[in-house]
Amino acid sequence: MNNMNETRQFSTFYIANLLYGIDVMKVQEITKALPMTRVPLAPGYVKGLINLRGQISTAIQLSDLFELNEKTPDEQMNVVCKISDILVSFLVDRIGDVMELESKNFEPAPDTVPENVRRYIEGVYMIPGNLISVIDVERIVEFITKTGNENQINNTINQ
Amino acid sequence: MNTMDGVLNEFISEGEEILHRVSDLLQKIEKGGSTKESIGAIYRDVHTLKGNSQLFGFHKIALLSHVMEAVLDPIRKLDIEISPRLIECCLGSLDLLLRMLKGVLTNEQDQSFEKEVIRWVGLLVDAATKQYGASFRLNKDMPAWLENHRAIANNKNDSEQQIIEEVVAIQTPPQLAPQSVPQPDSTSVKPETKTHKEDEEKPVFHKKISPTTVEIQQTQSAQPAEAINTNQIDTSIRVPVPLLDKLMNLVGELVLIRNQFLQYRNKHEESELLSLSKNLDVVTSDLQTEVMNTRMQPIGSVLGKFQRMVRDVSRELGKKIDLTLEGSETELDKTLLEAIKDPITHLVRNSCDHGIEFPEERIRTGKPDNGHLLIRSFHEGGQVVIEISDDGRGLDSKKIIAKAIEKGILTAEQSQRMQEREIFNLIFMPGFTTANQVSSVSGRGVGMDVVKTNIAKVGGSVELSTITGKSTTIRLKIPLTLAIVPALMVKSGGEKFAIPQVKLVQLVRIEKNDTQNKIEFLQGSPMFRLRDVLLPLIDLRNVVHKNSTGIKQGDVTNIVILSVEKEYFGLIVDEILDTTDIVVKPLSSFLKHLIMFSGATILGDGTIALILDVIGIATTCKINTKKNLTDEQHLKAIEQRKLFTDTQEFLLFELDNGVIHSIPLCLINRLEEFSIKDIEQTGDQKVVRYRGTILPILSLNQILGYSKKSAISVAKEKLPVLVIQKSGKLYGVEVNEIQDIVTIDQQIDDSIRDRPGILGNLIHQQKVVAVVDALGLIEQVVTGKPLTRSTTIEEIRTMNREMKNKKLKILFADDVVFFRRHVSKVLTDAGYDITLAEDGKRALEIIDSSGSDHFNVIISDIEMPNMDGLSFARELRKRPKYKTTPLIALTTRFRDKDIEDGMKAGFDTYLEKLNPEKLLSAVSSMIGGNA
Repeated sequence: MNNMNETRQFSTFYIANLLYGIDVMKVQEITKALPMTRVPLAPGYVKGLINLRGQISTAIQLSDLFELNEKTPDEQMNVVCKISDILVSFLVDRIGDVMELESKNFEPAPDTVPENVRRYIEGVYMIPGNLISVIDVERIVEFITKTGNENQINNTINQ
Repeated sequence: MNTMDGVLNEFISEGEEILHRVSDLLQKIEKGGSTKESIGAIYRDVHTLKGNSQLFGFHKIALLSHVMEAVLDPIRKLDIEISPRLIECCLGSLDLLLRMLKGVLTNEQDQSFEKEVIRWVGLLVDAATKQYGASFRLNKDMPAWLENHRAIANNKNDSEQQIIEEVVAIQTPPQLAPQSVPQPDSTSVKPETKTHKEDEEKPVFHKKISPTTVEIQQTQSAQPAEAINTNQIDTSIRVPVPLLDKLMNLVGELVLIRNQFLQYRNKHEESELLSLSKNLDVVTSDLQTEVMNTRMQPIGSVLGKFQRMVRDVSRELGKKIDLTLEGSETELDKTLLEAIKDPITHLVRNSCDHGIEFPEERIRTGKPDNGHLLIRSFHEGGQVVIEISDDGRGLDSKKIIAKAIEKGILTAEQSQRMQEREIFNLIFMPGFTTANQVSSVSGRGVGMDVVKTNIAKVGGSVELSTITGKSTTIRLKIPLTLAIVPALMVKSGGEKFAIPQVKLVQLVRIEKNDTQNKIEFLQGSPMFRLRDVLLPLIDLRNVVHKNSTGIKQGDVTNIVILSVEKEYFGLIVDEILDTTDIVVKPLSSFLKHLIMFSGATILGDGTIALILDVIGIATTCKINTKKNLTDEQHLKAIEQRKLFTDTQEFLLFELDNGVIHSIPLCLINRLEEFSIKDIEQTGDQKVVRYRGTILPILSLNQILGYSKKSAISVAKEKLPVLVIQKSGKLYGVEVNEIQDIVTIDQQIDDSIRDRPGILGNLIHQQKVVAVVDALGLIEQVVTGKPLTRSTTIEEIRTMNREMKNKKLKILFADDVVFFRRHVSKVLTDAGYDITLAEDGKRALEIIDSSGSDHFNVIISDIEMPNMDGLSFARELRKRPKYKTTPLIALTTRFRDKDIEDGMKAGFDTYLEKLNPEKLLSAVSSMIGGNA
C-alpha cells in the first residue's frame, strides 16, 4: 500500500434512496427513532431535541437540509455525531453497512450537484454499482450556525 | 469534617498538583528547550500558589513562591532561555515547597523551614543575578515575616543578595555561620528523612537523576507525610468531575427505568411488588437529589475566604477596607466555582491594591477613610452575575492610554480615536498593569487578561464600569450551563416549558365568567389589571407557534406574572403544572438565535422541555424593559411586588375538638407519617427514632387540653406528624389528620384567643381556622414553663425571614483543634454560622475586623495562650457593639471562684465542654433573650 491509496471507513445510510456516508470516527452511535421534543420557531430542518441517555442531542432532518422534497418514512434512524462537543442526530431513512473505501476511488463533488447539497459534501466515492456522497458534518454545523445568526440579525432589522 | 479543614485540604492537594505540574514543565523545558507557553504556565501556577498560601497565612510558602515568580518573570517577559542553574534552583525550591505543604498537615509549622527558605531564596536570587546580571532585583515589599527583620527596612537600596545574606546572618546561630550562598550546604537538617540525607541534598525533582530514581526518591520523602495524610483526610476525597457527570447521566437513566417500572406496576396488584417499587421509587429519588448535590456549592464557599484575604491584604498595604458579601447562597456548579475562584481572587486583590486609596488620600478627596468592597452574586437573565465593586479611585483613562502607549499596545494616534469604554477594556490586554509599583499583592499584570480568559473559558463575560475618582464595578456573568435552577413547568399548545422561578412574581387564574378579574383590551392589546397596575399580556402560544386563536374574554385563563428588570408582564399559558428543579443544558450553537429559549432540560420522565428566556420573550414581544422608571414608580413597583408575595401558606389539620387548626408552613420542616408500632416511650414522652436521632412526639390535643388521649389511639395505623425545628432541634407534633396546604393572604384575627397556644383565627372557605403557636408550645413543653404570651404572627414572620436570610453568627475561641472542630460541627449542624479563633487575641482581631458584621453569640475557652478567656471577656466588653452580646464560657474549670471571676470579667454563663445539648440550649435561649 502506498500513500496514494489510503482507506477510510464510513458509516453509510440512505436518504431518499441515495447512499451517503459519514466517517466512522465522527459517529458516536446509531439509534432507532427516539421521542423528540419540537423546538418552536427553529428552522424546518431542526426536527427536535432527543434525550440520549441524559444528554440532549439536536435532531436534523438531512432531507430537509438538502432540500430534497422527498417524503421521509415515519420511523427514521438517528446517526449521532459529536461535533465540537455538541451532539447532533442526523435523521436518515435506512442504515447501510460500514464500508472501507479506498482513496483512489474518491472524487470531489462535481459542480452539477446542487449547491444546497454540495456545500455539505466532502466528495464522492465510487463503488461498483453505486456512489457514496461523503457528508462533512462539521461543515453542516458551521453553516447552519451561520444561517441561524443571520436570521437573528435579519429579524432584528425587520423589527 | 470541619469546613476549614476541608478548605485546607483542598489548598494542600491543589498545591501539590501545582508543584508536580510545574516540576514536570521545568523538566520538559530542560529537555526540549523552553517555550513561551510553558514558562507562562509555570509562572501562573506559581502565582496561584503564592496567592493561595497568602490567603491561608503560610507566609514562607508564599515568600518562596514569590521569589520564584520574580526570578522567572524576566524569562517570561523577555522571551529568553532559562539557565540550567536557575532550573536546578527552581526544582530545589519546588521540593522544599512540597515538604512545607506537607508540613502544614502535620502541624509542622513554618519555623522549622525558615532556614531552608532563606537558603533557597538566596540560591534563586543568585542564579537569577548570574543570568540577568547585577541589575536584577526583587521588588521591595517582602511579606510581613521578613519585614520583621530590620534588614529590609535598613537596606532598601542594597541588592537583594545582600539582604538575604544579612537575613541569614541574623537567623543563623554562630556555629552555623552564614554560607556563601551558592554552594548547597549542610546547615539544614531535614526532619523527615534524616537517613536519606545524602539524597535529600539533591532536590527531589532533580533533573539529572533518571526518571526511575526520581520515582523512588519521591516516595521516600513523601512517605512519612502520607502516612499522616490517611489519618487526617479520610472524610473527603477528590473525585474527577467527568466521573460525576457520568454518575449524573446514569442516575438519569435509572430514573427513566424507575418510571417505566412504576407504570408497569400500576397494572399489577401484587403487594410485594407494590412495596418493592415504592422503595425503589424513594431510593431513586434520593439518589438523584444527592448526585445533583455533589456538584452544587453555594458561592459563599469561595467568597467566604475573601473576608480573611481582604483583611490580610489591607493590613499589608496599610489601607482600611471593609468587605461585604451579598447573595452568598447563590448556588453554582462546582466546575464553575473552581473556574471563577482564581479570577475573583485576582479582582479582589486588584480592587484592594489599585482601586481603594490609602486612608489619607480618601480623606483628602472627601471619602470616609474606610474603603468599601462589595461582592454581590445573584441570578439575572438566566445567568449568575457576580459583581465586585469598590468605592476607590476608579480608572483613569489618561493613565491607561499613557501606559498602553508606553507598553506598545497602541499608538498615540490610535488612542485619539478610542471611546472611553474601549480604553477601559485595554486593562484586559496581556501584560497590562497601571500600578506604578509592582507589589506582591496584585501580580505583574497577570491579573486582568487571565481573568478574562478564564471567565471566557466557562462561557462567561466580564464587564467593567468605572467612575473616575469614585468607583469601579466589575461584573462577571457566568452562564447557568451547569447550574440547577428551580423552575415552574407550564404547558402551552400541548408542549411543556420551564420558566426559571427567579423571574416569577405570581400566578393568576381567571375563572370562567369571573367578573372581577378579567382580561381587558387596550387598542387591541390584551391587558390585565392586577391590584390597580395595568400589565401587558402575552400569549405564549402566540410566541412559540405564531398562530394564536386569540385571547377571549370569559374563558378560563392562566396567567404567569413575570418580571424583567423593573417591568412586569403576564404570560398566558394553557396549563400550570408544577415546580421542579431543573438542570439547564444549553442549546446547540445553531439554535442560539432563538432568544426566547435559554436552554433545555430533561424532565423526570425522560422528556425534554425548553426553558423560556423571560428577557428574550419580552424582547421578542417588544415589551419595553428599558423604560426609565422614576424612583417613585420603581418604589411603587417594589411595593406591589411585596404585596404580591406577602401571603402566607398554612398547613391545615384537624384536632379532637373537630376544629380545623393550622400552623404557618414556613415553620414546618417536613411532614411525616410514622407507623404506630415504631413509636416508643421514654418515661412519659413518646418518641420515635428518626434520621439517626430521637424525635420527641408532642400531642397538640394534650397540650391544648382538648383531650387526655393522644391521637395515637384515634389514628388507625399511621400517625401523621409535623416535624418542626426549634433552636436547631427537631420536634414531632402529632395531629389527627393533615388536611391541606392553603395560601391565605389575610391578617390573623387575634381578637379571640381562648387559650394560650392559639395565636388567633383565620377564615378559610367560610370556616374558622385556629392558628397554633407551635414554637411557643414546644418551648412550653421543653422548659416546663407555662406560656404567658403567645408569639404573634408578625414575630413568626420576622423569625422566618431571619432564619431564611441570615444565619445567626457565632464566634468560638479555643486553642485546642479538637474542641474547635467538635463545637463547630455541633453548631454548624444546628444551622448556625460559626467563626473560629485559636485564642482570645485572634478572636478580638476577628471581631475588630468584622466590620458591619455582628456576632450574635460569642463562646470562649478560658485557658488559652496569648490572651486567655478572662482578659478576652474584659476586652470584649469594652467594645460598645459587644457590651451585651451573650458571652458563654466553655471550660473544664468549675470551682465557684472560677465562675465568679468569669462573671466579673463579663461572661454570662459557664458551660462544661463536650455537652452539645446544653450548649445548644444555652445558645438558643440566649439568642432568644437577646433578639
